[in-house]
Amino acid sequence: MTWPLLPVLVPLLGTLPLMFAGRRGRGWVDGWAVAATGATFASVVAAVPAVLREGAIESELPAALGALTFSLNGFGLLVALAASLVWWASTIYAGPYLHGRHERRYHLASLASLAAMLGVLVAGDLITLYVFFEWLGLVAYLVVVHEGGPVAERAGLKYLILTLLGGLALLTGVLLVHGLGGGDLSSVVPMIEGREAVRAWAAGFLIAGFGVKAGLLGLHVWLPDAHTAAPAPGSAILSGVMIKAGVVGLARTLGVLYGAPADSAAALEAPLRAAASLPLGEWLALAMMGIGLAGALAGAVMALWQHEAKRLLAYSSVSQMGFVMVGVGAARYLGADGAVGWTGAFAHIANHAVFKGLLFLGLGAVVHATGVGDLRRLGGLARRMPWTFAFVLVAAAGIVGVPGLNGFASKSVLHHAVADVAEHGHAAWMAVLEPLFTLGTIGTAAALVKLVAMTFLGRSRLDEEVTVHPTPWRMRGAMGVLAVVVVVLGVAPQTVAPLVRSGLASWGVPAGDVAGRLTGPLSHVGDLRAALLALVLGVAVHAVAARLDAYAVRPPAWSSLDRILVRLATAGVHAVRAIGHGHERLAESVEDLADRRITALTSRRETTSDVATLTSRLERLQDRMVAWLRRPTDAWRDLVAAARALVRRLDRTRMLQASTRTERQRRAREAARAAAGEAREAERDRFVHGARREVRRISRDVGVAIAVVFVVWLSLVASLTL
Amino acid sequence: MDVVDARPILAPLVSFVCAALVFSAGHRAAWRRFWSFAAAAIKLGLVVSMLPGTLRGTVYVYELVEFTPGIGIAFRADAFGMFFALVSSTLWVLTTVYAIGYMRGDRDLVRFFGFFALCVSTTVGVAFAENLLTFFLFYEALTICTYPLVVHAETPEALRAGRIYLVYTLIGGGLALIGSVMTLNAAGTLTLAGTGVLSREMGGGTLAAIFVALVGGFGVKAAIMPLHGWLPIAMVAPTPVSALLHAVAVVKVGAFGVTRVIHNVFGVELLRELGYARPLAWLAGFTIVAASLIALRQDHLKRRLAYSTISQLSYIVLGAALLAPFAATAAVVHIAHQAFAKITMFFVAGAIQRRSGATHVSQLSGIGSVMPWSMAGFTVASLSFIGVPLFAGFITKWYLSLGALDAGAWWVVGVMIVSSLLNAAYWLPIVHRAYFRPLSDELEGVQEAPPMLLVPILICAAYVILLGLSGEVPGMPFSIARVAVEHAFGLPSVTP
Amino acid sequence: MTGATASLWPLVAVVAPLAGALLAALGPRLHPRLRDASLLTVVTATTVVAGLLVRGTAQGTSYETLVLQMTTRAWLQLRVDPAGAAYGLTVSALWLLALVYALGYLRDDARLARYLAFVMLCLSCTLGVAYAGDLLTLLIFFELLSVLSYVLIVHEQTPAALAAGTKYIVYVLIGGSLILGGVLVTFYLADTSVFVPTGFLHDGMPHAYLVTAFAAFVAGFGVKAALVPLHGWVPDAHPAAPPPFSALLSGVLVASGGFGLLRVLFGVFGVELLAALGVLPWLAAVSAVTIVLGAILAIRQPDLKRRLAYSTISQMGYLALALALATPATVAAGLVHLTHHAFLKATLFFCAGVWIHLLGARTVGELRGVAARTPVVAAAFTLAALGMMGTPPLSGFVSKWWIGTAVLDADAAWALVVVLLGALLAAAYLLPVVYTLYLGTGPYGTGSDGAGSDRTGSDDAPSARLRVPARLVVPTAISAALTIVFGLASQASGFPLALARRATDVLFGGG
Repeated sequence: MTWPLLPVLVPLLGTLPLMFAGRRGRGWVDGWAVAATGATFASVVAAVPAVLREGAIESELPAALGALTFSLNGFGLLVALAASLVWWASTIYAGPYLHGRHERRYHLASLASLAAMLGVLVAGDLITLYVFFEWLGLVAYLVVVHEGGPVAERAGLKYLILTLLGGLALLTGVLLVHGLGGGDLSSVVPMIEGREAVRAWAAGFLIAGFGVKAGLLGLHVWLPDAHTAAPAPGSAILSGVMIKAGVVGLARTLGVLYGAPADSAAALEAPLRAAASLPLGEWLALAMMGIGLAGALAGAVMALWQHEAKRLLAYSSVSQMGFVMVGVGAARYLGADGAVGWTGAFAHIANHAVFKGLLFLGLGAVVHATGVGDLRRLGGLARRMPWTFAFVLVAAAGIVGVPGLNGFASKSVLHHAVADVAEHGHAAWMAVLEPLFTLGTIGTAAALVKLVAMTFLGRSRLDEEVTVHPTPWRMRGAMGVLAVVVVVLGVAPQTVAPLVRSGLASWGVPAGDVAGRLTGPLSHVGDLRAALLALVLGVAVHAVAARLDAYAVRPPAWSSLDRILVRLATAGVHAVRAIGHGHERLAESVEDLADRRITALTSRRETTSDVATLTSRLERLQDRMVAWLRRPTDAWRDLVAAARALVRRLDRTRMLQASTRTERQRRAREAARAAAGEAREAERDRFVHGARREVRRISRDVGVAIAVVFVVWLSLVASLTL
Repeated sequence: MDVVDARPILAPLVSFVCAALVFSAGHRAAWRRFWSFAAAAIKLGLVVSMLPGTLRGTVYVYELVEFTPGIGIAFRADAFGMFFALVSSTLWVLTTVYAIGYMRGDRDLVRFFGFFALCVSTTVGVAFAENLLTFFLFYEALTICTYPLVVHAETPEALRAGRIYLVYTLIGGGLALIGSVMTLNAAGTLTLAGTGVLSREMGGGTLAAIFVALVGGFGVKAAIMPLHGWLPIAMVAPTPVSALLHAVAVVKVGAFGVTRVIHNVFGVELLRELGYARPLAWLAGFTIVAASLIALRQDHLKRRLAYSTISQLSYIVLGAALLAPFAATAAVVHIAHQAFAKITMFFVAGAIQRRSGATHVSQLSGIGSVMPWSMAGFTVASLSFIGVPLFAGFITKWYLSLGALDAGAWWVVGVMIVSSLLNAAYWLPIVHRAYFRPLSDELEGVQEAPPMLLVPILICAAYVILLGLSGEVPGMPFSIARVAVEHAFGLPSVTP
Repeated sequence: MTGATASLWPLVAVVAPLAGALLAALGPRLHPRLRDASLLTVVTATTVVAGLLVRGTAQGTSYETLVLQMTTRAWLQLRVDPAGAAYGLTVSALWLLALVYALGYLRDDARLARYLAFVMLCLSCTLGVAYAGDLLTLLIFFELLSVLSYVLIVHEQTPAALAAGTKYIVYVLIGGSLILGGVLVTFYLADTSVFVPTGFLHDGMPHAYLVTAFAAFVAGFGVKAALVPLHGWVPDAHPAAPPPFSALLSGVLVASGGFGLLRVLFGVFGVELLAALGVLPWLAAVSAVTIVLGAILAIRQPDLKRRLAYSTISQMGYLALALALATPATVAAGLVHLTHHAFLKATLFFCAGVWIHLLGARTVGELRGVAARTPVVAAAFTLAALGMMGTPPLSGFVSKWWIGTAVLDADAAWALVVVLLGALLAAAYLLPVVYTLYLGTGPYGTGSDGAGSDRTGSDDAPSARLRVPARLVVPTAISAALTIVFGLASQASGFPLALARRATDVLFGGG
């Protein structure tokens, strides 16, 4: 059966028309969003009978890693009821509040995160839980930064970083749990020898992961900024509901690691030994209580210090989550008789959702009317905004724990849980827990008194030009719904008893008389006294502080976690820059080197490298040898020329001798001889010389040629004969 | 087994006759072309007709004359010779087509085609030479016949290149002659039929001298550094000549000779004992890297091709010198791989030169957009040289490295890797420039190469891929190479 | 791997894209619509075949094809085991989306034909890598893939693109040579290279050789897988390439390096041997550095695609880390992450492409308020970004979850820290973009670039909706939807998780 899925599916389907709403009018968008959230609330309510009948209703969806399993038990349903109710109210409220500032986007984000929120509540195994948790964190970012502007941007960035880190821690934890063989939220991880360390690590990561969302002290830094930056209805759901996801997650997952309390059934007789049987789990529980108390106190003090109304409320949320953590821790510590702790914790979760949502809506109404959020410039609005004043008063009274309003019951039950721990505790110092708790309640009271007083009572410190706009009826109606719930749950706290009982039953914790436990305080003098004390002291503290103007004193800068976080972030950014620069330098230098080598290799000069010079040398050698080879041919040419000259000369001399025959030419011959005598001498000499030179050269060259041939021939012959 | 058959001598004879016909009756272009084609076709037919026998292990022998016992002119078509003959005669056909297209309108075509035919004739003669004497005769004849082709342009620089070419090769020939004479002294025979004629007893000195003389002599044409000087200079020859001679005939004759010396004169076992091959391998390795480094800085396209040739030839020498079957296989097949890839590149370079006059790499910006098909062929060839798988070059690289590992020569793997990276470094920029740079202005209006040039380019490129894909197919070079290597190493034949 | 049935299907898958390449090559002569239709049919058919192979392997058969016996020592052999089949399916499916996108994005591009032809060739080679039956085949397809991708990276041919292309080719060629060296050594040692579950190398072989080979492989494939000292080409190549190819590049092509690593680790070496050699811790350390450094560097990138590229480096680190831890669980988780990341990153690049195409907006700063103008695309981007951060229940969460649990089972808590840190940093570099898109008031200008923040694109750009071409929107939307589907239905049979488990069984020698 898919009952548990229905609440998740309804808002999810609700987003679809909005996505494609495109150009639809605002009215349509608002109407649709209200209808969707209303339907969601209805679907959650519809799940009630089934849950009461069967304890826990389960289903699974074959998706993601194997299957997403869902199981919804009393506790989950209780929180889901509160959540969807507050969501509905805030959606009704959102329309007139946003008044055209990207409502469509806001409603999309809000519906999506509602689905994710309910998903977290109905998740049946760690993975499913993680899946919805992650989506919740990412979508909620849109709600945080909805208003836009530098403030929202900065808050959003801070929120995003912490959410991502938290999600990562969560994933690590989930992985580790799976490594231990767990993962199903209804069964305990088997104890493996030697893996205790892993178990502890897992617990640590889970606490960190959920703690970020739950605004655990130390991890809460994002919370005040984000809740302040978001639009009022957004703050209402962020601060009223979403941070519960963290607590619920913690409450459910630690059980997986450290045994459902039923494991120590013996605890009823011997709580000490029972507690000692799971030492690590026990110390864990104590640690949670410690963190919770610290958060409760510090949150209260910080809240008391704020001037910004929404910041004050945000810090008060931190403190309230602290109380809830105390409850969870106490329940864990008490083991089998931790029912009182569980009751208190979950009742307070539901209650806080309602009145914190109401408070944010109310103060949102103030801001909407006056445009001022700074307490120091407000005041005296009671007369001018009576409705809002009434609602805020109810809510504040509820959170302070005035008997007859819902806060009283749950806070008293938590008180009882702490008291039980103190008396069961092994160590004497645990007696300190209870006074600290009371101190926390007083701080809360003081802060809320300050809020109400400085906003609505006293003289108006508003500037003259500020006009107080009337609060639209839809906003009043939305607040009214929640106010009614505050009262109803205050008068009849046992209303939630059946759900709590079935929840306890499904976890196997002996329930005891839940209704009695819830209604008891109304008739229990101690509780009434404690509540009264808290209220009176709260008023006193505020009065004194206001008189002494103590609010002006700021906490020292070093104590601001915010600054530390910013330092870390900037350091990270610088590191990234440095690494990037380094890488670029390296890459550039390497590439330069490569370029230089390549250019050196491929430079187009023909004769540079050693090898190339070798080539050129060889070429020169070649030329010389060629010249040498040419000489025989030259010689041959000279030889021929010489021979020709010789022949010419011979012819001429023959002619001369022939001419000596005739006698009658003697005289002429004599004359000729006389004339040609010396010329002939010269001729002959020149010829003889030339001939001699020729012959010498010829003979030499021919000799060389013959020698070469002879050598070759000799070698051949030798080779043949040998 | 040996079969007496005239085809080994007919094959060179055909081109010889062709040359004679061209010289006598070649003044009419039509005749010239006809004779060239006919001869090329007939020769190819002859060689191919011997192929099946070779694959069966048959060896065709034909003895022409015998002066004295052990000395004579004889032909022998064993697997290795067949391989070489097949490659050169196949490429002769293609080159003839290309040359006709390329040289159209040039002067002295009779001389050109005549000596062209003679060269191929002598090349095949070298391939089929049965003994060192025959080998030497054809080797020198090839040298002589090439000269007119190198100086074809008859410009001063061409003449100078020709002279340098002659000097180198004649000296090399002289060395080879001395080497063969000493071999004859030592062994009493010059035959190349067996797996080594020399033996240990002949004394280390003599053997060393013979090795140096023969390898040095043939190494000149194989352009092993530092004997490579003539090759880049001889690039002034017309492109078909550079293509056929410097990618196939001349240089490969050198590499062929070196391999012959290692496999058939000394024999693998003897060299393993002597260890002479190691220095040779180192030299070859050095040449591979050094030549690539020089090629890297050449801007003149044909010079870059020349240096790449030097580097690639040393693959063959290295493979032979490693004395490992795989490496030897790589060496033999690389004769074909390098021939086809390199001739593709030369063809493309020539086509570009004819079409656009561009001779330098830096002038080729965007030429891929106007001559896409030619550059596609060029790209295929360069990928093959880089050794990208599925191209011919990869087979060589792969087998050479495997053989090197078998021979325990780790450094060769390094050389292979460095060399393929260097090849990438000087081929890819050309491809990149051609396809991915905008068309430069002086290349405006250039057209794709004419079919006479383009067809040989594409055929060769296709064959490069074919060689890479289908090594083992009977009849493809790889199968022949394996027969040759099995013979040289005395391995049991695994031929199907 | 029992019952290897000879089958032609792997060959069909590898060859079909070649037909597509031919079609694309004669693209200009073809009517555009006809060309697009035919190409789409080709790739769809390929995807279908890949799907058939996945189904067959899931039933235990492993297909085998001897494509080509080049020589006795060189061949192409395809052999599909579940891991390969899963990767192949991822590849072809993503290719289909990217093809549709490209047909829209490059519609008016002069070089569309060239792009299509080469993208088809690349598909063929990538499938070859996926289905390679032995080391040599893997090497061959890997090399071809590396070389062919170059054309697609420099497609736009701007100086920047050309420079990036050069850088890329230098890196991958060196890497390829290293792989060749490794293959040679293994081949020399074992005289075989056919992948065998639990590896064919054994402890008896000389460790020096084995370690050398391992180093060569890691370095070689690491270049593609962008392990940190070797990642230099990634951030340049991605912004330079056209968005459809950037998507493929960082979706499946970078992953091909990781896949090769997987083959080497478990098909060649085997876990025992690796343990004996003691090399895995080094790999793990390197990948841890990759995860963290990649993410940190991504934070500072103003250029969106560059930022995504660094994110890819970081995400691939997850895969490498998962492999390095070498337990069945981690490897399965790594494979799941491979698939999930492919579609996530593709979505992101598709979106970035749309904004470049329509607005010319490249830097994050220019994207302020863009969501108002392109709501669907912005939604897809958001979804993918959240998934990348590991937000439940999206696909990214599923893979991170399984990596986390597996890491815990492997007793490597430090790795868990790294994984979660990576997730956090992913948020740090993606969330700013998302919130910039929507509000323009996101956590912006902190840690990411300060330059963009003062430039508000929403001012000069009227917030009128833009009409995004269907061919761009549809693939984006589909892959974004897959993010959800993979997240929610991750357990369903036939989804990455189941396939990855099956694949790991086989890789580790199981049934």
